[in-house]
Amino acid sequence: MARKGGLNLDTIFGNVYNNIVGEPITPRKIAIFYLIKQLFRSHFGYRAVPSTRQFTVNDKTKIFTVLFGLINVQNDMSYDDFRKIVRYLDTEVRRGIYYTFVVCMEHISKGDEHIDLRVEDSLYTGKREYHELAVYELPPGKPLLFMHSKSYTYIWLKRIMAEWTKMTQDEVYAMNERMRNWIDGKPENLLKFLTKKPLPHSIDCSTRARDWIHHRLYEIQIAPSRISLTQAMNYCKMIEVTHKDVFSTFLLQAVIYVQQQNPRMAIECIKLFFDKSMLKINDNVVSASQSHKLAVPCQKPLRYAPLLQGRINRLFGDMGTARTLFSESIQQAQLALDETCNRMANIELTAIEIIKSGPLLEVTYQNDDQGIDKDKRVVQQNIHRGAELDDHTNMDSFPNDQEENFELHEQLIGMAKELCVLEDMLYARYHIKSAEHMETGLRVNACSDHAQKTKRVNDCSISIAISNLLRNGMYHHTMRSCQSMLNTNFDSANPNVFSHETEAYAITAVNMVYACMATGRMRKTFALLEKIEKIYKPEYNWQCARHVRICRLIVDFERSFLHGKYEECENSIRVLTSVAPTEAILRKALITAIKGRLTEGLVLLMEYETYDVLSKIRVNMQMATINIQLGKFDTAEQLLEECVKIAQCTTLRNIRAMISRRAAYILLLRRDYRRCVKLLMECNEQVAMHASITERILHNFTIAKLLRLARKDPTPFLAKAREDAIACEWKTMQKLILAESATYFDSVDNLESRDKVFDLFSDLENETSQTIPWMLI
Amino acid sequence: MSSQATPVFMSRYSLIYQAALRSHLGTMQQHRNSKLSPFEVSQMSGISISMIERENIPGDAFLKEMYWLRDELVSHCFLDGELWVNEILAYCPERFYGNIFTEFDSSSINPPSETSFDCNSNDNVKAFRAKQNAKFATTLIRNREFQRAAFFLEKNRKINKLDNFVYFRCLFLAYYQENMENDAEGIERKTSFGEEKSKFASLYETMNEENLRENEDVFFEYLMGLIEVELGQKEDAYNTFKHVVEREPSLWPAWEALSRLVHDIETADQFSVGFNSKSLWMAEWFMVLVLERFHQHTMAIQKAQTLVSRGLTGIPMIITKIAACSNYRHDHDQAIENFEDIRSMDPYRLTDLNLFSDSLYIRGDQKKLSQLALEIYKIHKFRWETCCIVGNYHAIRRDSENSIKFFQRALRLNPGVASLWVLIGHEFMEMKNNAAACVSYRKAIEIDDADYRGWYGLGQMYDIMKMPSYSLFYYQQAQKCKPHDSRLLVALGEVYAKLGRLLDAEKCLTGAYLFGDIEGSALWQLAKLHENTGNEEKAAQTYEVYIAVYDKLTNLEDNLVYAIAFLANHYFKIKAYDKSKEYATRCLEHDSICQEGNRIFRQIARIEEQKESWAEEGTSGINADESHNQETTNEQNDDDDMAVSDGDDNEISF
Repeated sequence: MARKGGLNLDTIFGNVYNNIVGEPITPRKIAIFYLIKQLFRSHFGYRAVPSTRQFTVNDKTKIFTVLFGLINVQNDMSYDDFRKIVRYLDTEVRRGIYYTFVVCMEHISKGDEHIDLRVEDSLYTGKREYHELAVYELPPGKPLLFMHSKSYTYIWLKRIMAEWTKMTQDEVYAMNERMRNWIDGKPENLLKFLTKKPLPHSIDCSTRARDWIHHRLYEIQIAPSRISLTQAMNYCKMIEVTHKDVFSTFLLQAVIYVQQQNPRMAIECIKLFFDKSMLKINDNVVSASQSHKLAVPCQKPLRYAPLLQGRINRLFGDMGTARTLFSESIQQAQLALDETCNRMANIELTAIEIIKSGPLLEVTYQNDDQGIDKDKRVVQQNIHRGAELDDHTNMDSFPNDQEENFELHEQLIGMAKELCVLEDMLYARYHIKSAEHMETGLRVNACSDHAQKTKRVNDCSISIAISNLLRNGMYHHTMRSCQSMLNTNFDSANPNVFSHETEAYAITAVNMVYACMATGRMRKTFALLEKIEKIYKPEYNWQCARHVRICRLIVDFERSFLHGKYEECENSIRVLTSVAPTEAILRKALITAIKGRLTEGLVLLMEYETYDVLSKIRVNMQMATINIQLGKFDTAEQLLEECVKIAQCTTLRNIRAMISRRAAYILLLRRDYRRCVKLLMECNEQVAMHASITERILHNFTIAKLLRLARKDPTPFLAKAREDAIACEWKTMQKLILAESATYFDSVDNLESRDKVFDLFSDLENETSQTIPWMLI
Repeated sequence: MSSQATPVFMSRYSLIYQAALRSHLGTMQQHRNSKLSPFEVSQMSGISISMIERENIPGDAFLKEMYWLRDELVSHCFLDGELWVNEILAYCPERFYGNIFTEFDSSSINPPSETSFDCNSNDNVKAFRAKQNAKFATTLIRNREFQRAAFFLEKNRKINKLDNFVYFRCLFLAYYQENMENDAEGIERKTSFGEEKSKFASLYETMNEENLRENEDVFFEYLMGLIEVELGQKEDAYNTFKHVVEREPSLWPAWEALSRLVHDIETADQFSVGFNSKSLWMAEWFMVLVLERFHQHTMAIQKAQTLVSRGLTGIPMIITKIAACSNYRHDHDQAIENFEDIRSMDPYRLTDLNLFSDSLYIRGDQKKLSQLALEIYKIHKFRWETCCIVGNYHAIRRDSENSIKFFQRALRLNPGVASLWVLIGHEFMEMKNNAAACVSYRKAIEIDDADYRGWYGLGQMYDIMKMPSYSLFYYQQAQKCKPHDSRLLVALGEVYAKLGRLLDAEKCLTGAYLFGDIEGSALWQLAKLHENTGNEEKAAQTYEVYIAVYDKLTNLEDNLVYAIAFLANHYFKIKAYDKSKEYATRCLEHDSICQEGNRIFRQIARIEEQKESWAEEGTSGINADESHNQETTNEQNDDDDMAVSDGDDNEISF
């Protein structure tokens, strides 16, 4: 057939794909080759002389077990050790194998023969050529195969032969000399023979290098603490120099740079990867063999390169550039009719609007100098464009060369649906449609799950669901869900080690900490926090570490606050300001107000601009309590009404109780006890189910105070409040409760109880002298 | 058969029979010891020659003859003959030296006179032998048989210092040649198992052990610098070459090697300033090379011209460098002129002639380029410059395939030239093969990441693919390599404009203009940018500058026409009627906007009439102003509509 004309890209660009099948040749591998050749001849015969006795199944099992072991030895072995293994075959399989093998080797050692890595055609066909048949021999009915063409040993053999044919004359001579020295037992003069320091076995040929990179890419995303980033980068540099056909080394380098928080180098590596991937190896073997061209152009990088680069930009907060890049990716995907890329880019574009790059889910329009379109309808369109995936009829539009078509499709659907859920959570309006979307993500697990794509989406869905539980104050549900997810996350080899260290698990772990803290389990809170701090370290897993850091700061603040150590609280706030501004400002205002600077605290909150629904409610509530403390009840009422209006548009379960409690303060101070008690009793159930421990304490205390002022018995509520205060080690509150109790006992002339309370109070006073203006909280 | 013939026949037959017998028995030894006379041998073979036995060859006469022959062959440049003679002299028997020892003047034509002295001393024999070996080795080096030359020089190492150096030099050349040969063998598959120059390492170790760096011969240290370069120890090589230059400021090869390793211009300048008193001119030429390397071509040209003004006129090397730098800073007309001067002086000089072909290609001079390609191809087919020129020739004829083939051939001859990969990339872009173009540009960047052309090519490619955000990175990289190139700034400005980053676009385009605006597009782009963003005042200022700068250029006439019309209308809008008139007058010079100018004149005239009438009526016309202006505006709009509908498609209206 006539060869196709035109430019041969292989000759222009150096034909790097020739190295794909290479297996570095060493004397040991040559010896294995000769052994295989000889074993084949023992089994099949040689030319016109057929073998009298073929190997049985048991013989072959032993032979190939030994061969497999020899091939997979990582460190090199001496000729003496090799001979010992061949002698084993001699004793266990058939006599004569050792003798003929050693004779071959001796011939090479003496220089009588040079290395010849050729085999007879019979090895491939299992048939003797007609002219080779012995006079008395009839042509065999079926082929007498030694090994299957798809077996490991066969492929290894072909790779060795491929590498041998590519060796230059110089290398052939050098290899002959090495072989002689190996057989003679002389130590190798590395300077003389080896043209380069030997690479580690895991990356000493293109095939193994690709495999190594593939595994590291997986590990670095799943469990980054298990690999040394420095060593991985060194290996990548070695692969870059020695294996010119392995472009994925740049991809791994980019991921490592992302882990090291070096976006500039990450982007450079990603660009290198995609630029070099513009030429790919010809998948069409027929075309390649006819045209003798291995390299063919590939247009995939044009659409995937902006996508990955945009993702890096998004991770590091450059939203404008990310947005533009995703648009370019969509454009290219539409031109190339690549549905997968189109959807991925749309999902990324949506993620920018919802998640952005911060660790917390809140609506912010800061740091966006591009002036994004604030029209929510546009945002909705983007989301639902990405989520128009709930039909599998579009499967045909996926390119056929992807093995994991189905998993990828499911993953994309799951991700899109989860983004819809996140959007609902962002605006605190969780409804039936949200539940359906959530369910899609939770049910996304596919059968084979190549590279655990769907498992990761599943994990994300669970962690999002848990976050939603926490936002709604369902702390016990949160703890149980976290427990079930974390309990299954252990390495089979070492149960004390997490198998997955992804962001989903990190978020689940910190949610567990928050839930424990909210339910007053302080010891468990700190024990868990210490454990996850050891796992999610910022040096190699900064994305997870930032969640843990925020958690640590908030937990430390709470502990210091409950213990009345307000200076330590300020230390936590100082660091929290950069990572979680809303949380920081609320706490700062609280501490400022507690210290007596009420107006200053109020101003802080008034100047803080927030667009997030939940943050607005919290800021307004805090301002209301400060105004209550200042005696400005009307202003406080207005603020609380504002909160109610916002809360009515949300589906948050715990917010009304919190607003009601604060409104009850106003009624209490206005001595409208009837309305006050009615308001507090209305939300009693909500408080019991969805409130945190501090909310419960304050709620019970408010009721107790109210009852006391109404000359009723407050002790049951005081007891509940005190029990909870002891559980969460809130000493200042305990003192307050005791003071209230003493006041009551004194009013009913229960002097004995009063004295007991005094004793308890004095013990607490020795521990902390701080007081707490409870209406501020 | 006559009786006279029979004896001849018989004797011949018997001789043949005897020869057959002997050949059946015989080894060479037997033949050698056989008692056959020459006459008998000639009879056997059938060829008759005179085989007169002569006396032994006298050594002195032999040597005289050989020396004369060698001198003649050297002066007449017969290298192979010289090699033949020197080999004989190197293996000449010692007894030939005999009683006569002669010291010959190698430049003399006549056989040299004999002098005699006592040659029985062994030292003299050794010295003489060593001298013969050295000459033979030199001839072998000229014939590129380096290993063989090293073999002969090894015997002379302890005797002669110069031979000691040449020995190491031969080894270096031999290893270099071996590497080149290995490279050529592996070029097809780009071996994945790499190559380390271990032989260079062992040579380096040997030289270190013998403390040759401190040798009085500065060339040893220079050679060690070359080995350090081959071993990739660039920092050590840099220090070595510096030291060599300090020891011997006239050793130009060290200067040249240093120019390739110096880190920055300032360091190089400081270094060379210290040599102004010690070096006549080499320090300055060194700075020219350094400036060229760091893309400061204007300064490089100035530096080269100072050398010319100091007296080095007519040196092709300097003129070529000026031409090359002109090419690099896109002054192609100057480059072409300089290259033509060189060609007239030295038509067979090929250095940097590929840049001449680049300039001709950019100027679109197909005739000259084809002539050049034809002439150069006849001189030397297998020089990389030739292949590059022929590649450009095919490129200008739009034969991209052949063009790439020749560029590829040039690369095989000289793989270290990044610009060839860039040219291949451009050709692939012409063939719409973006993938191959991308890989080609990447190859260029791999070879030399300080060469802006690879980065620029990639940026252009993605820009053409309508991916401005993706291409921005590459343009930025290109601009880092050459911060003062206006073309790169214009490209950056365009990309920023596409991305909506108007402030950055404005900065880039302004910078491009300030740095020279080679292609004359920076001002135009800037003006259009301001116009598109509604900033008419700035647009007007820019158009004014544009007209002032490019007024005389005929190839920009369309732009000038547009600018004049814009300014005329703009000043009319802002009621600067004097300036509006000025530009309206200029409109009349161009047919396409002549009517526009007339229209503006009419309107201005109307307004002036109205003003006069108002002035007569006094302040009561103030209120009428608004309505008049409104009417005027309406009239203007009507006029505009009329202008549009008046049928001339070339008419511009705002």
